[in-house]
Amino acid sequence: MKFIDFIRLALTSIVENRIRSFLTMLGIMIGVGSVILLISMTTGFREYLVNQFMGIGTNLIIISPGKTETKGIGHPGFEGVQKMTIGDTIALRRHATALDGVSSITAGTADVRYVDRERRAMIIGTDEAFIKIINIGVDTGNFFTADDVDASRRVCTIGYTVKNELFGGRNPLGEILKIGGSGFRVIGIMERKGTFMGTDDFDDVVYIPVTAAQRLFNTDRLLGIRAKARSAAMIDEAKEQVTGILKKRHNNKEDFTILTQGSLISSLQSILQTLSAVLAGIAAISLLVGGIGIMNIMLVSVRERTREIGIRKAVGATRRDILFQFLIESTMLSLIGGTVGIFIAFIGGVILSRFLPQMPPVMEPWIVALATLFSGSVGIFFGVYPAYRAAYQDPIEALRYE
Amino acid sequence: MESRDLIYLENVKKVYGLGPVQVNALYHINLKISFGEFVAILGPSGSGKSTLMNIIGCLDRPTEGRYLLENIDVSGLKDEELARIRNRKIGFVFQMFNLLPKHSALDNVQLPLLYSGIDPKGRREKGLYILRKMGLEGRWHHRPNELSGGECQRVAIARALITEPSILLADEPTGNLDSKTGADILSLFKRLNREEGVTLIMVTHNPVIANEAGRRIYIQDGTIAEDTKLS
Ligand SMILES: Nc1ncnc2c1ncn2[C@@H]1O[C@H](COP(=O)(O)OP(=O)(O)OP(=O)(O)O)[C@@H](O)[C@H]1O
Ligand SMILES: [Mg+2]
Repeated sequence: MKFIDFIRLALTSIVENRIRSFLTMLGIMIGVGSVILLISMTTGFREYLVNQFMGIGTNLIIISPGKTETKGIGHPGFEGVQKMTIGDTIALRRHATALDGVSSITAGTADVRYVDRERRAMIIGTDEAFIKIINIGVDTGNFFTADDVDASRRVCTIGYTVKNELFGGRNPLGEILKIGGSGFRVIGIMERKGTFMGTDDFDDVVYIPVTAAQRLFNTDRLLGIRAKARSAAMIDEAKEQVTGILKKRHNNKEDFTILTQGSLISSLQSILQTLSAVLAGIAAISLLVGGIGIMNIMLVSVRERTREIGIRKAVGATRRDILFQFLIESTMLSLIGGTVGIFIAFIGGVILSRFLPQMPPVMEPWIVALATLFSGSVGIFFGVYPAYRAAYQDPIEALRYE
Repeated sequence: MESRDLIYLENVKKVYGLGPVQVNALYHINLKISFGEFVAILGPSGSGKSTLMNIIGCLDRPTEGRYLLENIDVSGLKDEELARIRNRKIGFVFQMFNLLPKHSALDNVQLPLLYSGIDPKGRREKGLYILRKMGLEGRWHHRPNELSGGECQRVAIARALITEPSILLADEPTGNLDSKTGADILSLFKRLNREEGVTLIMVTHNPVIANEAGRRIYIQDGTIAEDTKLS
């Protein structure tokens, strides 16, 4: 008997018993479909995160006060918070040759008012180097200059949301914004940036010179320093230089934390990898359940078709013929189930991406290949026993079976 | 010991079950059947007729003794080789027809060719040809439940004949048919035997049918009680 005959036989049997075939496939279908969808969502989420982190600028180095014991993301600043000042920024600019730009950051929220409109917005105090480090440009007007920072001038560059909410269609350039009570002249509008990780609206921000911000928030501390390495290859060197320079300034204590995009991304990746491992476990369980379902139905099917097996043997089917007939049927069942599952996951992904336009599920080809491979293997593995039972039926008893 | 017979059984014994509940279905069977014979097998119920047919048809193996089919010792063959013999050399016709209920007459008739490795086109052509020969040309797409008993049995005979076997084994082929249809089937068998030279071995309870055969074998309690050649 030829392979194509087995395929045809299996398909005929599957179609003949449509409802039962469908119910048999259901387990594999749901299992494969949901797992692929979950994995695609994780992948989409990961790509979104990576994009977000790459989006803030390349070769970015984030320096925060305080030392965290663990590497990676956490909340620096819980232990031994130390001061970080504009002096640190200046020292880094002067001595860290591996850095291409260093900028002070301080931040807070304040009420921002224009005539009769008011909203609470994020105030970021920084300096002229900021736009070079972060991937963001000025849409109209200007960002403040080194001179503005040195003189701690009350000028500001506003984000798109702030502009929209407070000025509507009017041109804000040259207008005076009241920030926490004091007036700041609008000198520029930033490019639209969108949200970061779905929470912080990058456009709902007012940028003011760091010196003015420190006066506004009544502090001489910085939230941190953002710097940029000259190239990706120089990130490690830059980290070393920053560590050396800051330690010297901080009584030889490493009371700060340096994060790079690479370390952020890799720690995110490791979290997502754990998630993927959990998903793989769920996948294995669901395939196991699906496989047991297939075995169950195949055993029932073998029993129901006992007489058919007898007839086939009487007219010349070998054990091998019968074995393959049932084995290929179970394999086809689970392969079809797997394929339908992949299709369902695809449709689900398309629907989900309408609800999550920022992080659409991404179905990678290897997942599809793996799902197909696994569902096929499940069909073979769980089909062997029923097929074996069928093949070793005694023909006479099979023919006599009612 | 060499034999030029089609079927040669020597001291064949068949025991069912193990230990104290053993049933001696057949014992001390010595039998020769030549090419082209028409043999009727008679005997009371439970005497071992079907058991003998199953052994001759290579569906079952004797517990003891030798069975040569066309001079080949079948007792020592592997499953695959036995299956091949069933496929090529033997055609079975059963009392219960034993057709696949969900398949058309044509599919049922073609079934043995599937296991002979013949391609679908060849299978179909041969199936249609043999159905026509059986007078079923208009019925090829019908399923067994859409056919009469006589038609079902003709489909079963067509299936048995499609591989052009040397032996046709029929176990009470008319047992489930009315006498008129039974007579039709019998004359079909006789024609196949006479015109095509098919060796025919038929189990029957009907003495009228047995009278048509060239040889009658009477089985009682698992042995041959009587073996008469007529004509
Ligand atoms: N699988 C089996 N296990 C145990 N005993 C069996 C088995 N098959 C048949 N027998 C016994 O062997 C004997 C012969 O059975 P067989 O079917 O050959 O009879 P038969 O002559 O064909 O009867 P009938 O005319 O009723 O068809 C019977 O006593 C039967 O009970
Ligand atoms: Mg019988």
